[in-house]
Amino acid sequence: MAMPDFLTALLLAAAHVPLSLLLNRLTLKLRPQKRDLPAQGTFFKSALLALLLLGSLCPFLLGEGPRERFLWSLYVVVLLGCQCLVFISVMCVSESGRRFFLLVRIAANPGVGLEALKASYRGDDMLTIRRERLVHWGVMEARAGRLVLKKRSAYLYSLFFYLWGRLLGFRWFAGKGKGRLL
Amino acid sequence: MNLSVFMLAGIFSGLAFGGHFLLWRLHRPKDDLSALAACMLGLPCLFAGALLLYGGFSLATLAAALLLACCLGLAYLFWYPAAQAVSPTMLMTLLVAWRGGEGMTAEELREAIPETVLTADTFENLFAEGFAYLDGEKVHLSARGRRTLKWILLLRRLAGFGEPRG
Repeated sequence: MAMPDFLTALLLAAAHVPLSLLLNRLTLKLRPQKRDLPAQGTFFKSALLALLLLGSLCPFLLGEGPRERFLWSLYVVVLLGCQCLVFISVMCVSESGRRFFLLVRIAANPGVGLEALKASYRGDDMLTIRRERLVHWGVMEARAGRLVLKKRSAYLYSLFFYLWGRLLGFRWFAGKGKGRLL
Repeated sequence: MNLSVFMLAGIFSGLAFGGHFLLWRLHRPKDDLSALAACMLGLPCLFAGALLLYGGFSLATLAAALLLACCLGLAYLFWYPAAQAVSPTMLMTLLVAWRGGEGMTAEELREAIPETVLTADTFENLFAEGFAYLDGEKVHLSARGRRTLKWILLLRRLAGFGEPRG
């Protein structure tokens, strides 16, 4: 395997980050989002578009012969696909991750008391903002005061995480007071 | 480029996921994220090092395979917290979906997901994973917490997003 080809693949992977950021900024400019409820999927789409753009360059830049070109293109596409997953995860964690949100709160109030911190981020607040967000994204809709699932893909995605969490031995609880294992 | 790169990356990833799965089932570490990073990034690096010395693979082949496996591991590292910390968004989606067309009111959802589920380990994990520390009753960011915050907020700003809403 040629080292120059590997270095070119690395350059393409590195170029994916600024290109995704640039495309996302452009998307936000062209289609302004509700600023306080950003669509995290926008960044995933920008990263996918960047992947397509950079991936289409691969056959011209990497490998010799059709087989090598195909394998290099596949390699770069898988690499950039992983980066897309990292991007969407970072955006999700940074927007709605509880621990990350607490870090933001602590940074804004250094030396805050533990009880005051707990009091500032309660379950009710978490559920309210998430309900707003899910309706805003079109995952759920409110029909006569009841929330109904609209996007089946969101359910399948959640189900996958739930099953994986259970497989790893995590306990997902829900229920009145005492907690019921889902 | 040859197929051995993909094959090696598959072996590295299999080793990483296998190690992670076994460790979590047998004795889940207290600092999840550091242990996961060791499984997802450390194990493939160790195995690649051994192959470089004894396996007869070229440096470029091993580096390409290792990069692919580490990228997969990194992607997993970032979406693991949703499964580990019981993502409230996903929990809400599951509960509403399982009610079918009938759906749920906000009050029913609130009753179905008690406070303890939402906040139970959140604060403890913050300290256990070294993102923050307690000085008496006061909470401070650790160096790890400050670093994480700095980089993720920078990425958000560069992407054009504002402050998170939690």
